[in-house]
Amino acid sequence: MSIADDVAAEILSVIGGLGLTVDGAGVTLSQRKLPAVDEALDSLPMLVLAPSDGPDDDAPFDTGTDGTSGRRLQEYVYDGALIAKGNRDYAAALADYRAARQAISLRFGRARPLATAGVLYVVPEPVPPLVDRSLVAGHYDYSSLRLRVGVVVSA
Amino acid sequence: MALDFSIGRTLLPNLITVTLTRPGTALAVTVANVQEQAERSGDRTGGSPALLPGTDTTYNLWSLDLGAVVPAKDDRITRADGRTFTVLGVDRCAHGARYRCHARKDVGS
Repeated sequence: MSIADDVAAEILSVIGGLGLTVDGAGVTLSQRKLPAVDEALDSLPMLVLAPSDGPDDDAPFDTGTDGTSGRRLQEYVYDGALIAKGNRDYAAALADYRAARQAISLRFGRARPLATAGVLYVVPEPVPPLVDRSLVAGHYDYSSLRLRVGVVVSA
Repeated sequence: MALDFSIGRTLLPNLITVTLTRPGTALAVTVANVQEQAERSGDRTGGSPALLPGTDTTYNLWSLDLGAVVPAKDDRITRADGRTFTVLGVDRCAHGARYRCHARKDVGS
């Protein structure tokens, strides 16, 4: 298990604690390689946590007392996509989407780090569209947030 | 003598009866002699990296069976088995005698 795995699992656990719902149905959580669902197998609404299409980051954090034992700041980037039934109804459950985005954004504010050792911050950041919305089947509602997690690790 | 484009439409195999409704309105018309073309399931988004699946099909609705109703985008087609499809686009065929409705199955139906 990598740090990325640990962080992803904890993010999902924290989001699970938010008790998100869409149109009265509880949001199921899933870790996947892509923000993708299966029409027949998946239970919607679903929040999919997937690696971002952007790179993770690794940079010096401090030099340490002897100048050589410094720690490093690594950043892991995740996309959380909330996918639900839409069926070309563009207004239903809009309040749920806003509430979900708000709950996730506020929970992962700069001042509220995760419990994982070394996690310095989790920052929601503006996300480019994960999908071209003009190409999406209007049959799915789709909303996404990108989370950037900074972790201080020993060199 | 005008051509009758509707003649023989009931001779097509496997005709079904559907209900055409229009969200936000009271429109609900039962349409007989509807021919459904092949369903196709697959990924329906062209954007990267998300993948969202869907099932598309096409219904041929005859003006004679629709009465004065003209199918439009975003109309709903409900089949006897309860599945519902949303009309994504309509081709006006045979000088308005037939409407070819491109439809996508509603998620969860």
